Amino acid sequence: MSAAWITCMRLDLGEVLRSRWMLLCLMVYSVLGALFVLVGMRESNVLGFTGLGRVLFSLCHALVLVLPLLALTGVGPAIVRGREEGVLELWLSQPVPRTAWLAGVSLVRFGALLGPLVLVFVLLALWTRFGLGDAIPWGFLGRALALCACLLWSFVGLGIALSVYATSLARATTLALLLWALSVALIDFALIGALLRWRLPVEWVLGLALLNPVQDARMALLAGAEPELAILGPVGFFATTRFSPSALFALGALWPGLVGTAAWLVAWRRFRRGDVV
Amino acid sequence: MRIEADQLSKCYRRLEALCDITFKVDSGCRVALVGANGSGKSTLNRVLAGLLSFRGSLRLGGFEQPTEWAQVSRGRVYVPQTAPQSNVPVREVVQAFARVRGLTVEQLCCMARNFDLELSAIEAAPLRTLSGGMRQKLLLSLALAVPAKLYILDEPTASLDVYARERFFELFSELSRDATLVLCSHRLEEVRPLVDSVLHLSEGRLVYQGGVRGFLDARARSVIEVNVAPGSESVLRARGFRAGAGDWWMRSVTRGEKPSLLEELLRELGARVRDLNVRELEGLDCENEPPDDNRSSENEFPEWRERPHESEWQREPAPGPEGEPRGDA
Repeated sequence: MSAAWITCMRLDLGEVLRSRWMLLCLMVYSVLGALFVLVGMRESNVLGFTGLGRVLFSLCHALVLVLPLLALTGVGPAIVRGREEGVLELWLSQPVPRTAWLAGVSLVRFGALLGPLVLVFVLLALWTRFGLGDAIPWGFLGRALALCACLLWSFVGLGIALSVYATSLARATTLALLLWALSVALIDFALIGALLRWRLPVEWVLGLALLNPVQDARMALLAGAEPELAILGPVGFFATTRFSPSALFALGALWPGLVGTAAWLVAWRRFRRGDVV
Repeated sequence: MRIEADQLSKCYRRLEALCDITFKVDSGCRVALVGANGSGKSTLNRVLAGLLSFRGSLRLGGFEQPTEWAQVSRGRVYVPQTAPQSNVPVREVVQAFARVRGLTVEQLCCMARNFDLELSAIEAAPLRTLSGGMRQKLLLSLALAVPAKLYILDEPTASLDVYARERFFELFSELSRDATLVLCSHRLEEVRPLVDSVLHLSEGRLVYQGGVRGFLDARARSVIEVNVAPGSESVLRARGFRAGAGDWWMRSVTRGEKPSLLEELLRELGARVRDLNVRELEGLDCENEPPDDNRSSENEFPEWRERPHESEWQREPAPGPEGEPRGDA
């Protein structure tokens, strides 16, 4: 890896550490994890599974809503703030390729989001093994982590695109919040509302729902645990009754990854040739 | 590094910042980029620095921009008008700069000491907490430490004190004569000794390209102040002088006009001249076109307009009883 790439990544890592954003992510994940442990869910047997599997299941259910928000608010301002503060003017007039800058920022922010999550998962696994003496559900753990990583990448890509296209920091932040609200609203209730209001064909509504990376990741996570769960919602129920858990996992991992990569490429195309000041 | 711009244009939405600019700057040439505020100087600098997209053609050292960016980026240095307002500590900036430029931190510290800037003392300080002058010194230290082929400096001494400015001139004169310089400045003291040609922009258009001497003859201005015995008013008024307080009269002239006007004045008034001051104005008059006659106008008195005790000076002297302006305000 060239000096320019390393420099870009180190500069952004410094920025992430200074802003304590990584610490915030760790705190959010830890609080969520601790919350589900402390409220006694590990003992719950209502839905058929207990222990770490149950905690992870509940944690992942919350994470599919929290991860996009963290990713968008953390990544959305990255480029536009650099532009406003004159950081891009200083560094991109040096022998630093724009691709290196964009990739460096994206990878560091992705790592800053995923790293604390991996740490929390590992701590939960260790607590299960040595605290409770239970076996660690490696399969579910790995699957959940892979889906969370894909979901994170999806919104890191979208956040980078927002940041590259936004003309001001305020606009980038507003758009990030709007995008998060839209992706959460489109999980079920906004779609069902649209279905009832405009009498859209059911296939259209479900197709639209499956375009939402949050919905795909959520279905893959939950269906991996229990395909018959009522909490999957109408769209989830429709999908789980038609696709196998493996197909849903592939959809939940591939589609968000594809959306994130496509958004990143759109941003890269603009950033590579456009104005950076 | 040779610069060849052909039909270079840059639009910000509906605003045309640069309009069909065509010029060539030979390798080793030192060019002043001048113009009024908003004339497109910083935009042109940023285009040359590879920060802005543009229409038209730009070749640096024979390499087409921006497609052959990699071939020129290492030999090009750009100092922005304002340093970043970031929280990044000085140490990180210096280390990162050294890494991408293939220099050692010690080399950068040595260069900074030329500006009386001890980097070890401020290494933990966030960039935004430094004063404007210190940030400018830091950026100049980083830039001048690089053995580049093209230096693009946007108002490099705007925030510097007199000592640092002198050190900048000295350090700059020590740079390789093969290096090309594009210097954006309004200061005569920079333009005169540091550059040998001028690009003058006005409303995004190139209105002058040529030698510095011809440009300064038309644009560099001096103020002639003369104190005369009563009865000389008509001679002075005919030559465009304006009355001030206590028998002082003044007029702003270009460098080309100055010798002949002084000679004429002394010949006509002789012993009636009690005192005479000729002062160089520090800035270049890039707001106005050069005057085509000797008529005075307010535009020729930039310093007068900014004078703190302006009321002491009689802008429009009322005619006296004999039709002569009153000498006292």
